Amino acid sequence: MPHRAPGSPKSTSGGHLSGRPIRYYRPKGSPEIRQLIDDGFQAFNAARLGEACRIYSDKMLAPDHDTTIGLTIAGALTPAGLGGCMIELMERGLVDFVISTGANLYHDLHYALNFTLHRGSPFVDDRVLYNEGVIRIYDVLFPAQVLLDTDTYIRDFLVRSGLSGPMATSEFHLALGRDLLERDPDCATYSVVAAAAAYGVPIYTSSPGDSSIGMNIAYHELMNGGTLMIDPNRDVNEICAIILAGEKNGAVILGGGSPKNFYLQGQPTLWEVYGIPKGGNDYFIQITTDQVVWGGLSGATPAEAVSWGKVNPGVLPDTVVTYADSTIAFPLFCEYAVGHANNRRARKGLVHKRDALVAALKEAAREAAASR
Amino acid sequence: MSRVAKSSRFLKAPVQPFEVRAGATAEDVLERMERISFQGRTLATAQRVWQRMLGDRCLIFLGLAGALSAGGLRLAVAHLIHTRAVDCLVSTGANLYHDLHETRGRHHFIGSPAADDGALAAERIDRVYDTFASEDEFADNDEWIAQFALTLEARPHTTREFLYRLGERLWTETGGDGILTAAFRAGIPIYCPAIADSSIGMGLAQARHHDPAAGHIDTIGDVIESTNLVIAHPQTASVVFGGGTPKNFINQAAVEAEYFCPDVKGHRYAIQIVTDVPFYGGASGSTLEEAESWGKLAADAARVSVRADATLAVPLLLTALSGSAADLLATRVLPAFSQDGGTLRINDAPVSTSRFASSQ
Repeated sequence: MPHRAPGSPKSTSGGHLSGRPIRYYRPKGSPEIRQLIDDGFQAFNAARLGEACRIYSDKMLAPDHDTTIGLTIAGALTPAGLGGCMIELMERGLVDFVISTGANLYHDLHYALNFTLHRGSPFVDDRVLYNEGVIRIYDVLFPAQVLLDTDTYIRDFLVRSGLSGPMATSEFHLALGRDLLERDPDCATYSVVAAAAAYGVPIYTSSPGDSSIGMNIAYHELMNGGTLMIDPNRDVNEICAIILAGEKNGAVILGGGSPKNFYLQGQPTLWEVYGIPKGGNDYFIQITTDQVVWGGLSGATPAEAVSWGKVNPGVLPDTVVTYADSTIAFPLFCEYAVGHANNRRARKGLVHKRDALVAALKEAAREAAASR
Repeated sequence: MSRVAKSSRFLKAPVQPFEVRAGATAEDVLERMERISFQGRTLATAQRVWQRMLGDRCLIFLGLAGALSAGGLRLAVAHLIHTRAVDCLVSTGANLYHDLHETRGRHHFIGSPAADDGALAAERIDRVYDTFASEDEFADNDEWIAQFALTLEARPHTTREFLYRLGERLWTETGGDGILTAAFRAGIPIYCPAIADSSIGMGLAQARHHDPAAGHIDTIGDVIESTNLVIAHPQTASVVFGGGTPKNFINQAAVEAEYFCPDVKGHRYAIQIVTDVPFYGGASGSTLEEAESWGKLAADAARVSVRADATLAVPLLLTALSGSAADLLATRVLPAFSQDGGTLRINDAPVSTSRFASSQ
């Protein structure tokens, strides 16, 4: 590793970092894009994206539906500059909670800390990059020092914050976001983690050990004797409680992966484990490049989810899968929503209501057990 | 709540975990894959459907698209012809051209998909994903095809007649096994609807360059003839590797046949092994249900779509089938073909290239 660190001898980026910086793009609600989606996207996956836009903006965001909306994120979306779309949705109250891979949150910290990721090419010699200390995520390039400095920040934060004992990832991410906001109050405009803390949106991670954030929490325990422990049970119960409290429930699923399951298992947790029949999700929107034919969950259809009680069998018309790369489809999806009449809702501030919601879940589960 | 069923008609046959057995035959492996899941089970189902085709007096079309010949599957296809597990081929030009290349004693070579294409170009090496070949040898093939085409009578030839003659020349000159020579020896027709879109087309163009009367191909004659084959033998089946133009050509024969003969009701069986997927809207990935809506497939047709790379699925499927279907192949009632004098005959009846037949 030392020879990879920029600053060591011969560590020059050889022009690989000359591409334009990647910045978070904030959707503006362009009427031209809405017109393109409504009138131009007429068949195949263009039409599926149009359906997704209309289900989201016309129905899920309709004030009288009061839908509790989860956004799940898998695939390297923050490195690709899609964090601005997430920030815009959170700021406008269009997303109530987020389930993300750890990596998307970790890479979001680069933006929060003003480190720069660059546009590049996927057709580069990775052995050269390795020798020059340049990290590649497909066509996104950045110095290895960005990783080292972000890790340093996380470890400093863990020491400074004094976080200890078991906690949900929502609580951990809230503390992390608040720390970022203290460093720079403006960073809610260019960091998903900071924006979530500012707007009261809980962020969950289904596999907290599986990212550089988890790696640094592990360091903190081993080297500092830290007692901070991520408790996945709390995450499971909080998500379940949020879904239980929802008047209607719906998800926007980007990619699939573990976050997709972590969201969808909420309904079975209610009926199968707690004995509380909630009836399944009312809306299901997925944007994915995976396919159904390989049998995996990422590519599984909403119809398959019906059989598990994850999706209400009566609402299949309000489910849609768009087979597309999120880097193309999600910014268009957000432009449509931001330009729509339902483009702002009162923020639910769920991150501050977690204890009450979990208490309500416990009460409902007791009642369900008593009535059996 | 009533989410818990006591017993269900859906829960009849348990998945049986696949056990690895040293030295197992392909037949045994594929049989046990019937009781696992996803595309593995689907491939095993394809074998069942193929067995049913063989036992049901079908005229079996085989469509070839994708670089199967360059990818090492040309003798597997030849085996299907020798054993008459298929009766009529529809292929891209490239698959026939790369077959010809190897039948003429040349090779494709093991390469890498990560090769430096500039360095390959400097050495006149052509790359097919991870497989290499000599451009100079290709240029020699093209001229060989041109010289052969110049020996043909100066009149339009259907691709079926042209490819039959080409297979004949290859066989007499090389005595080598391959798709073209196997089809010639078995007398079965090969259609190549996009023949111009290949090095065979380039060779024919070079023939025209030498002699303006040479290299005239009658692809519309192919359409009429292949339709008349379906009218003459309406019990048909379709096996497609890779989609593309051949998939459509096989299906349009059924549609065209039904137009002239309402009794023809589409292919009775269909297997496709494709990597394409339905949700981009193209024909290669389209489902066999979609084909049914066009009348390409009979409403009650047994059908299966395997989503897989042919280089994975075909060796396993064909090896297993050669064993499991040995009795069916030995006793199968074959559509008999002959192609003497340029006219295709099926069961001794001539097949017109100029007029659609009426109902039999």
